[in-house]
Amino acid sequence: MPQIGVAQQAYGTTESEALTFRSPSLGFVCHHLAAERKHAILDLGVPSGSSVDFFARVPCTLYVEDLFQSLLSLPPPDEEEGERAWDLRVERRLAHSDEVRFDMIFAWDLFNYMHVELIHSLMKRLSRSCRSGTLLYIMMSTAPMIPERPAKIAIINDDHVRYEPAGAARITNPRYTPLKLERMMPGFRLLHSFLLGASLQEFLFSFE
Amino acid sequence: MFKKSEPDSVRQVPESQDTTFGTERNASAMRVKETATIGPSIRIRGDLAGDEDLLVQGQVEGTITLEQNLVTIGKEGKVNATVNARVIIVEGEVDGDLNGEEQVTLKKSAGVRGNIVSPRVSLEDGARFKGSIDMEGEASKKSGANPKSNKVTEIKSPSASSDEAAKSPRGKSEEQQLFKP
Repeated sequence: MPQIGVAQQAYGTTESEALTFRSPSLGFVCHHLAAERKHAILDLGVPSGSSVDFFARVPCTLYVEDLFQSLLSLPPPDEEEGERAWDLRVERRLAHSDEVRFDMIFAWDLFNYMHVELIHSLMKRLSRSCRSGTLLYIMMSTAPMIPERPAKIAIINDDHVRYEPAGAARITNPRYTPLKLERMMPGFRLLHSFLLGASLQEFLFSFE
Repeated sequence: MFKKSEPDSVRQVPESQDTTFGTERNASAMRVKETATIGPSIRIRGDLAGDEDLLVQGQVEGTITLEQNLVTIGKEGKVNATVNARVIIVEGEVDGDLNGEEQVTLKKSAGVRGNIVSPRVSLEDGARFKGSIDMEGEASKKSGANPKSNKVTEIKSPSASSDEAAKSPRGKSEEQQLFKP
């Protein structure tokens, strides 16, 4: 059964609107990655200097895809592109090799900005690069409106993340529930769910 | 083709005043301090190698190998190449692998697509990066792992033939394909 809990509220801001949250899921991930072998970690978000510094402590190869830049900022495909348009886009835009098997995937808040079809195509492709036990970290907003672009999210330490929303403009939140996410991501099962504060919730899924 | 820029700190002593080993001393100082510059209007296709620091403000396609030196890809620089150097600083655009013996730094103006292998990687917020980062030096020191067991160095095009891979000096079976260009 998934664990449901309430994380400590944001404990401070360093800039306007930038929040730091205690992230129980990140603590779990750090424990998961503490083994001696070398790990493969995929960051689908915007590259962050402090996250790179953080992963320097772990024997790992960090893959950065920056999906917002390469995929999410594209207009939706038109009819001429056919039924497999999303699949083809994902195949073309993801840069990592098929050979890699990830231990950890950070999707951050990107799913808030994806169509159902895109999430389905992306996760279908990523599932080929997962092994049993691969963890997937997702941050979702429960607010009706969200910033128009994904936030800058950086790992501060073993159990804290810094969340910096992008700008003041707002768009409608698709408000995907964990159940809906599981349906869009065959093979992934919800492990943990925590409320972070500021209408944000984090989910940790595991690939089986 | 290459513009040699001489830093202000290096004072050239006229040979006539150089009564002992001045010329030799000066030459040595010049070797240490000199930075070769590829200017904004220069375009090079091929392999670059040498023994002095390099600033790229132009375009380079191929490989850059300056294993004991600093290579800076300036804001105007566009590099489509594998870069091997002691320290690599990127302010411009790079499409290719960056192998830094000591450190690789991506400044906020940088745009990099490729694999980075270096014991220290620094990425300023705002830098655009798509690829992989392997800090195996630092990680292996901490974990005690054998870095060669997971050596990761090469980008291979899906269209590249196995013959080409075999010809590559790094085309060894132990290495993994990481990132498709």
